[in-house]
Amino acid sequence: MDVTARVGTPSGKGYWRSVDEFSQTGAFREFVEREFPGGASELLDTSRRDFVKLMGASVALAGAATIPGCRRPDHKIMTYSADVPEHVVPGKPLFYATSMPLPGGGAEGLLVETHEGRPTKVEGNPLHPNNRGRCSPHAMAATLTIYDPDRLMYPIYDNPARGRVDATWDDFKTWGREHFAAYEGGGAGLAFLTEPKSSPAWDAAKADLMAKFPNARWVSYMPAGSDAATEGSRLAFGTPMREVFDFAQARVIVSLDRDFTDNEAGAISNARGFGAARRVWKSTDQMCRLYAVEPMHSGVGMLSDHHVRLAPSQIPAFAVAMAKAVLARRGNAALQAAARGRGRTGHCRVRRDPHRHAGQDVHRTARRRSRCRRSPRPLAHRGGRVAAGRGARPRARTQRRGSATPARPCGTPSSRATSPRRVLPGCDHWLATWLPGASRRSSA
Amino acid sequence: MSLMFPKWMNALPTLGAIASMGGVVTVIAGTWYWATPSFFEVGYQPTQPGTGFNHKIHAGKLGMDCRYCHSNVEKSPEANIPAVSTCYGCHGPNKVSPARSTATDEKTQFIRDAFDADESIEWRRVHKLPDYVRNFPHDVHLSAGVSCLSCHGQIMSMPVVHQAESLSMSFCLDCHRHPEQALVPKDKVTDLRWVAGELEARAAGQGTTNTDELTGMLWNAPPQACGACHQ
Ligand code: HEC
Ligand code: HEC
Ligand code: HEC
Ligand code: HEC
Ligand code: HEC
Repeated sequence: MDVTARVGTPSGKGYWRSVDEFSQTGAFREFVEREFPGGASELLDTSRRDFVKLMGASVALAGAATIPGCRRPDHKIMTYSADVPEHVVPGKPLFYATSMPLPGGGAEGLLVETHEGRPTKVEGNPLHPNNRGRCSPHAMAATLTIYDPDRLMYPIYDNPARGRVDATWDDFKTWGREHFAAYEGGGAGLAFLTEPKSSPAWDAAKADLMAKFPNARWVSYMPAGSDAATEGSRLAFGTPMREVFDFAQARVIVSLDRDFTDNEAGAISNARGFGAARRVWKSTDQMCRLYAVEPMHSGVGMLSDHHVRLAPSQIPAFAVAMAKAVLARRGNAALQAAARGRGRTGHCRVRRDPHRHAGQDVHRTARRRSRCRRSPRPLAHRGGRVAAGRGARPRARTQRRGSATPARPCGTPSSRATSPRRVLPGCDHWLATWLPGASRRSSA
Repeated sequence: MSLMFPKWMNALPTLGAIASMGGVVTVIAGTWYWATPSFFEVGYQPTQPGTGFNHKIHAGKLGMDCRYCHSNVEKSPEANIPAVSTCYGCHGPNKVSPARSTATDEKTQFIRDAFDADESIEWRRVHKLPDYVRNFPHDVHLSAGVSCLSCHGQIMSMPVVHQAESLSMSFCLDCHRHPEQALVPKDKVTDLRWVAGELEARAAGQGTTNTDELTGMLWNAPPQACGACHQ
């Protein structure tokens, strides 16, 4: 059914929601025409008679099955064979300590529960200084990834003649030997496009590769990365940095469209700090207050005491207005001191390497003191009244949400700085080496 | 004028009532007797793969301890069935001599086949609680001094394992209410012959063990709350 053909060329503006719709691809039309997307179960071409027949047969079968079914089902006990794995006791879980990269950069320490060799549950490692028994939703969901039928188990070769074909790792090695022979002398023109990852094994592999192809480029890219914030901090302070929040000390938290307890690298410690600031043990304890300014209800929005709905494009303006108000009340000096981490409470820490931070933060008893540890490079103020700004990352946020109307970057200096041309040249090195989680924007 | 209904029909309602009451009683009695685990499950004896495994020979005649094969029964809620390599240790090439035993090469060939192919022997499961009984721990019962005999019967004299007890809810609860009758010293739980003799003697009032002492050593009283087993 081609509406355009029937109605004629539409006059006025034509609206479309995706490139597929605009170009009216075959797949898109099929999608529109079918009530359910492919794969959803359907009863195709059935008349009422067939349906009743089918149902009748099922009932009859169910009845027939119950009579011998009073006997239990025939279960098989599959024993181990020649090799019996060590430590496996059927009926008892076996736990493995491991770690997993976080999408926003950094990693978390996990405990994976397995039964007879099958992973069944992922939890935070209680001995890991950052996780302390908690874990991110990504880690929770990782169990499903393992059993995902679409998970790739082998390389796929894009054969020019036959399209995509399954290959083996040996195929890949053969192909690689031929293919990379062309780049032997230095590797100019060769680029490695990877996910940002922070793992010593990964770094070692990278070092090997870069030693072999010194002129090759190593590009880490993450569609929803936080490099805009990093780049903003570089503009502001001259060095790219990453914030490490300490909400435990905060009395008022203003979140500008930022899901800081759920959806970023520091989410676990953020949530813990926020919980500490919320918890009331004595009658004299104060609860922190959370203001969420955001276009949609995120996890933080649910937690907040005050929720202000604001379009993404308005949020930088809100930040400026709020800064002005703080300025008017507390004065310029206070604001600057706060930004440098020497405010009244001044609990701030900016680290280049989240793992180092995790490794150090083990003095749980001296919690307060350890939280106040100064770092050589403070960035943002989190102790006093203003915290968790996000001015530098509006673009990244809207893209991550995949909103239908791509909101324009709002023209603040920092958001302009996310334009690929300013970030790319010469930055490879520090990005990959110093900021394992920092990723670069595509030039799309 | 002929009667529309003959007179004897007046008795019909009464007869009907009696008949239906009889029917109800029959149905209840039938269900009571036949639709229970003790009718349906006791004696269940599936055909095992290969030439099967003979507990009467291994545990009875050769006197092997249950824990030689069911090695995790004291450590884990689940009693394990031994790996093929456990059988292979004795039934590998040229181990058990056919000259001096009934174990001819043909009878034990399925073990070597499975071992060489690195495949499991698919034993058919005999004892099975319904899925809604979520918690049945072997380890707790054994460390409390409940013998295999109480739940599995005299395995040592079974050439082929069959279910000896109903494993119904009342079976579990009868013991949970009066565990003292079933408790034996912990080092005897797998010695089914000794246990059988002891329990018989106990019934006749001549037991050699002090049941009060054994009961006093229990960590907890056996649970009777629904949540313990049905979780
Ligand atoms: C040489 C190894 C071995 C020894 C010793 C042994 N078993 Fe077994 N047992 C097996 C194997 C193999 C099976 C599975 C085959 C079967 O069910 O007949 C099994 C099955 C069973 C089952 C039935 C499991 C089911 O499917 O529900 C019970 C109960 C059992 N054994 C109890 C015992 C007891 C009690 C002893 C000690 C008196 C014992 N076994 C000694 C190897 C052994
Ligand atoms: C400790 C050594 C040992 C282990 C372990 C062992 N067996 Fe045996 N098995 C024997 C001996 C000895 C005989 C011969 C007994 C006789 O004839 O007196 C035998 C006999 C047999 C027979 C022949 C029985 C018959 O009907 O004559 C089979 C079948 C068998 N074993 C299977 C198994 C299986 C299956 C396992 C593993 C679950 C196993 N055995 C583990 C020692 C062992
Ligand atoms: C308190 C009762 C009880 C005692 C005591 C007991 N069992 Fe069981 N056993 C059971 C029940 C009930 C099952 C079925 C479990 C299920 O369905 O999850 C079972 C199952 C088994 C199975 C089959 C396991 C499987 O994978 O399906 C084996 C083997 C077994 N028992 C061996 C033993 C041995 C050996 C001992 C003594 C050392 C023992 N049991 C003592 C009640 C008992
Ligand atoms: C012959 C006696 C006996 C039979 C039969 C028996 N139990 Fe028990 N059970 C005990 C005793 C004794 C304990 C207490 C153990 C302790 O806590 O020291 C116990 C404890 C338990 C517990 C508590 C375990 C814990 O973690 O404390 C559960 C659950 C249980 N039995 C389930 C069952 C089920 C299900 C059955 C039926 C298939 C069953 N038992 C049959 C004797 C029996
Ligand atoms: C000691 C363990 C145990 C405890 C405690 C227990 N049950 Fe059960 N229950 C069982 C077992 C085992 C079965 C399975 C019987 C079978 O094989 O059909 C069962 C079966 C049942 C069934 C299914 C019907 C049937 O009889 O087959 C119901 C309903 C039930 N239990 C309810 C309860 C309630 C209610 C309680 C608490 C008052 C309770 N149970 C406590 C072990 C237990």
